[in-house]
Amino acid sequence: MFAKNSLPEGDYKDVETIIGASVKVEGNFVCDGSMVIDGEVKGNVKTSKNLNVGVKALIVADVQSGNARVAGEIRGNLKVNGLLELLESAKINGDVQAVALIIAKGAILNGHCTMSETVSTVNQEEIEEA
Amino acid sequence: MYTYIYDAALTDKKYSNALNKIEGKLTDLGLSGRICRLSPLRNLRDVVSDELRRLPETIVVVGGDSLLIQVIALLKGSPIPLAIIPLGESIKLANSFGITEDTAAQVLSARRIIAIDGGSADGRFFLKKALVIGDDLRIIVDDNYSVRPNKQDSVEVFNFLNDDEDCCLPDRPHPQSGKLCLVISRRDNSFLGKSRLVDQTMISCKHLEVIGEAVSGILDDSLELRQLNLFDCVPSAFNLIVGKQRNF
Repeated sequence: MFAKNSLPEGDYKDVETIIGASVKVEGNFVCDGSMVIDGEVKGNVKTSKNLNVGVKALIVADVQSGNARVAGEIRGNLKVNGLLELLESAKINGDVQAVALIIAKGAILNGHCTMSETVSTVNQEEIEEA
Repeated sequence: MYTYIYDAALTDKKYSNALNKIEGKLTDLGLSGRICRLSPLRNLRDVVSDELRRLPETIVVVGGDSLLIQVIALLKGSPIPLAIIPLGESIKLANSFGITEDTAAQVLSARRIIAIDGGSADGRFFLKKALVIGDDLRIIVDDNYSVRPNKQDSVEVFNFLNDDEDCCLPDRPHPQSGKLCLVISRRDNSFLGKSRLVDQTMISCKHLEVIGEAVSGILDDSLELRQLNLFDCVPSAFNLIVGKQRNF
């Protein structure tokens, strides 16, 4: 069924939700585990764990997560209560808040960038309520 | 009182030795009970509903995966423990539950009962998976967000996956998780005729609403539904007798 060598590339360890490149998601996309997004998402994205945005991904939404690794495009504000890593193919159009930030050469960031020791992002109660 | 439901295929002479051996072991362990032998003239639905009325201590399926899946669908969440004695072709499920032909009598005697979740598709139970077929599908997940698969994608809802089925997804569908797993896959056909998985979506959820044109489905590769709309995970829907070597 799920052949090990046939999944798209990416870090899938401890991932609860994977959005493949072929699907479109709309709405309040909330998850209590780590997420991988390779497709298109419109609405809100919230997770208290890790978020991995693939090269082909397009997110038109405000995003909140624990740590985030972005290789695709995000049109919206990004709040990361941990490490935000923008890879060389990343394209962010929106404000960014993070505790730690790594930006690779080639990454595009159009927006205000705020860094502090903690960022008020999503908490577990909010996820359960949703 | 135990109720044993024998698969119709077991009337074949090639199973008589194995069947005698198992019946001997069960008698030795004091587990003998009422035997219902299925045949082309004896409907499984009638057998199960008659036996449920008798309130047996345990219902034991003697046969393969197919019969177990059918009985589970007919139990409709009854609390009566269900067990399997694997005999015949396709006994992968029993093996996943830690039961083999040789150990079945001992497992039955030990009565290690666990509750497992059931999948519900418009009120009909399934154990393993449901295949969703339809055009222009939109799937609403836990009333929060919607997912639109592509036309070429296959859409499946898993409750449980046999251990022998290759799965690299980290959140392998588990029958005690209280969740279903929506899997949307795209395959391309190579020139050798073997399909290759090129894209996959996996979402854990409790409730799904499927909207689209001509939505139908197939439950556990056996039961066809001409209309399909709602999926739910029914936590602890069945009580199952399992072995120590089970795969979950």
